[in-house]
Amino acid sequence: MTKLTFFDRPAIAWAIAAVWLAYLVAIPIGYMTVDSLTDNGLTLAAYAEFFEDPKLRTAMRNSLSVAAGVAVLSVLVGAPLAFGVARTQMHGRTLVSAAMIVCLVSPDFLLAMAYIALAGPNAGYFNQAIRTVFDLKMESGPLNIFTLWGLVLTALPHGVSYVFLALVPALRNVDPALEEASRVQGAGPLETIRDVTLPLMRPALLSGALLAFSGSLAMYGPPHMLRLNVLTISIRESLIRLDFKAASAASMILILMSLAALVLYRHSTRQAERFRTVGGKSFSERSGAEGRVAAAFTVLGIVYVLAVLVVPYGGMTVISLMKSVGMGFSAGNWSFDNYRAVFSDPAVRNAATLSVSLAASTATLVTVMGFLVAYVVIRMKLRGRWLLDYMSIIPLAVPGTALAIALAVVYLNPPLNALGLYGGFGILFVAYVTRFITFGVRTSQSSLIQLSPEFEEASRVGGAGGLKTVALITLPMMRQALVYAWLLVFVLALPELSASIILKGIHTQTLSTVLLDIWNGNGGLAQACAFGMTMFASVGILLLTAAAIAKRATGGLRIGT
Amino acid sequence: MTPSESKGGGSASPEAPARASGVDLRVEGLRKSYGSVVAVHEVGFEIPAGKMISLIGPSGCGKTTTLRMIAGLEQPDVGRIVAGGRVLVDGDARLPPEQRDLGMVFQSYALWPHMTVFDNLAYGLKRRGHAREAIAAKVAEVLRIVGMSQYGERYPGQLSGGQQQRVALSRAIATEPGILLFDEPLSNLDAVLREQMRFEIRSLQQRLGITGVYVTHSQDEALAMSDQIAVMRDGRIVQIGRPVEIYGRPVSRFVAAFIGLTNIVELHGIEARGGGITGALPGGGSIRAGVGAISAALSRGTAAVSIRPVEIAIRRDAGSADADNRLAGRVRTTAFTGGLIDYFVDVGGGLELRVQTTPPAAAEPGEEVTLSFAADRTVVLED
Repeated sequence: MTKLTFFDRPAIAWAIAAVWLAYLVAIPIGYMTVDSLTDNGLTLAAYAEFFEDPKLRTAMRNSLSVAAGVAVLSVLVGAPLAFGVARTQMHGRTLVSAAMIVCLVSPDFLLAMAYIALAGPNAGYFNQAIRTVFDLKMESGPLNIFTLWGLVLTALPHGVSYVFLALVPALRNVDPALEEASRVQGAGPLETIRDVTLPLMRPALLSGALLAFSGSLAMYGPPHMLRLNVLTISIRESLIRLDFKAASAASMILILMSLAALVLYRHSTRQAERFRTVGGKSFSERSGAEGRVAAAFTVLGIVYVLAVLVVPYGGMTVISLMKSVGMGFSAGNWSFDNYRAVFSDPAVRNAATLSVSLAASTATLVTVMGFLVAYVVIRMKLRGRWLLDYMSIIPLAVPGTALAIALAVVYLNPPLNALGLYGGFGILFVAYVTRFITFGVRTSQSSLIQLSPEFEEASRVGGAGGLKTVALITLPMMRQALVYAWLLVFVLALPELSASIILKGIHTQTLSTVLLDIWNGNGGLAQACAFGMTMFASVGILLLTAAAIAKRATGGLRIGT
Repeated sequence: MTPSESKGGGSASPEAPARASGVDLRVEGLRKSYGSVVAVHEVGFEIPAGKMISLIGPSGCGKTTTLRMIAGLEQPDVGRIVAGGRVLVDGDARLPPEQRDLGMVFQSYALWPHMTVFDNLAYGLKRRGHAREAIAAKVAEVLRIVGMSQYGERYPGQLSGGQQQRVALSRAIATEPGILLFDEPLSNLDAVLREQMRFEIRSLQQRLGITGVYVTHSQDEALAMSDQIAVMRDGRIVQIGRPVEIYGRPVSRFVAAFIGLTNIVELHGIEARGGGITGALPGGGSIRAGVGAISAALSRGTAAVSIRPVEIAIRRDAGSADADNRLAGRVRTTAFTGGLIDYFVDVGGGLELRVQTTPPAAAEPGEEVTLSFAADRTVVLED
């Protein structure tokens, strides 16, 4: 009598979501774990070798110090900027917020390129300028970007964005009465910030710092360009030596460090929830500080935007327009030749085709399956939902390089080598989808949580079946969130580097790997800059579209969890 | 585990020390605009030390803005506020909130979630430089006053709404402020607790002798808690007086309808009658009214009068002939609400009067009845 459809049979939806996540997340991570622990029987030999190798130990120490440095500095820079934007009448609040989002999503290796062009010890323009101005008789320096501090500087904008984006909503959502009560109780404005505002911000600060930390651990492009010895780089070097055991062990160590940060992050966001005493209340608009305080924050904001966007990308634009980098700022040295060369390069064209199709198919699959997983987790009261929830969040803790190693191990060994994915489009696709699952699931989840189940219940009572209700009510009401999820994943996948550099085949070069090739030799600095600026502009335009949609869909851009 | 409300909520203990720390408060010509919107317009009132005033009105009437200007959380465009001889605001000269010596209970309670109950209460005392032992003693004392002694080490998130409310109240009085400000403090509580807290706050305020300014949109709270009520509308005080005056002699349709239930009846052909007036009802018959805006009604020739439902007697027979006002009607419908019975009586000419009596029911729907009420309970309104 009753015709049960797909969404009436929660078990089917659950099973599909579970199999999909298991295939993408559990199998590679599980396989690599086992692989790193076995060698004709259970052994810790691979890990012992890791810790005995002085170069790997240095790599690990470097990774950790850079990540810690980025986390701390991100808070020191990001917190004042967030306070300025959320709580003062400073100018350029929209500009600073937009810059934060651009910094977070634009590929990190572009900023590394720009800083190298500006602060490279020999030819960097800052160094040339400083040497000229101060009449220094040295051939190189005084600034040197090819150091761990240089790497921290390059990774900093990313981390600052994490802190900023975690802190601004937290600062806006604090009940103003908590601070007013402190004033009425006899505390001045600064005491109130110290004793009330800052402690209330601790969970948000901590989550921002932890995301900055794990993001820096996972970086591949900047240390590659800066030729620094960190874990992601040594993982790739192990692979090039075909030492899979060492690569697996190093990847596992990287994942564990990142996972520890993620666990702490989840803990601190929960704590943030507990700090809410009155829930679901919106507070009246605050006017915020004006005058000299606001002016100081305006200066800070402008300096920041100059340092992380205008100067580096402006510099890259200038270089990209030079006929010859050696001739510098002279008349007649300007043309679009570099852009022409890049666009007519068949390698670039092939890579563009591949990257766009990879990004588009990844975004599509991640959005569709993300919705399914989110629907099962949020709407279906089935046992084991938490397992899906956890599996969907794990990729956030798996650096692209480590994931690539796991996939290489899985698809080069029986039984899955039978699929023949390695070396082709398939393995890149699997890697991309796995990397970005979290974004698809989280976007759908937060949108579903805001959507009252009563809309769907009303449709069921009105006579529509489960699948029909999803098609006619749920999906249309979530469409902006889904479009936003698609765009976000597309923007992140388009310049993907850290997994691509390991999994690319001879005929499957992506945009980012081709860019690295041009940078490393056959095109030179000017062409690399032209290529990089094109990429930056594309990402920027897509991003602005996504941000506009996000504003309508969810009231703000959400990144992470 | 949350202990029951009644356990934590024992009313203030009688041995709490009586104190007369309140100061008088004078508010003069306050005005505040947001852009082109005037939120508060020429608001002024005076409250003697140890007394409580309620600011009541519909949302957006300016009552909360007025309170926040007293607290120093908003700056008036014009106006002067003096507390206990100390000028808090006078034009551009103003004290910041932390120097005003106030206590405030917020609508959301605003208990700092990262501090224990003890630390919440100690906060203001620390600012005032009290010694550690003195602070501990004082916190213990105010916690005892509100019956929350055993909760000092809890965090606000571990308390029920009613307990948070008590902590908020004790935090406000811990520093022994001259003036206590209340911003709709009971609106987040359920009905039973709200009723209970209303009397506790009132008795505490009276016992400690603190001057209070209480913002509310609930007429029950305003009537039960204050020495003075200021009814506000569109940024102005439309009537100010003792609760019994506001209830018994509302000046306008707005006040009559906002404070308490009432029937407003339109009369025409107004004539003077024995110090009051008499006027014709639309459907025939007349009503005598003895108090209110008598001369305005006489000069205008028409009037609106307010008669409270509880002031009207309802009988099946013709009733006593010496009542000032007698109207015949038919009961359309009745409603039993526990302590009271509501009757909706059609008195002809499209006019329906609401009547309230205590049980048992004096008439059933469909029955012919006689309504009677006194002229000195029938108030002529200004508008």
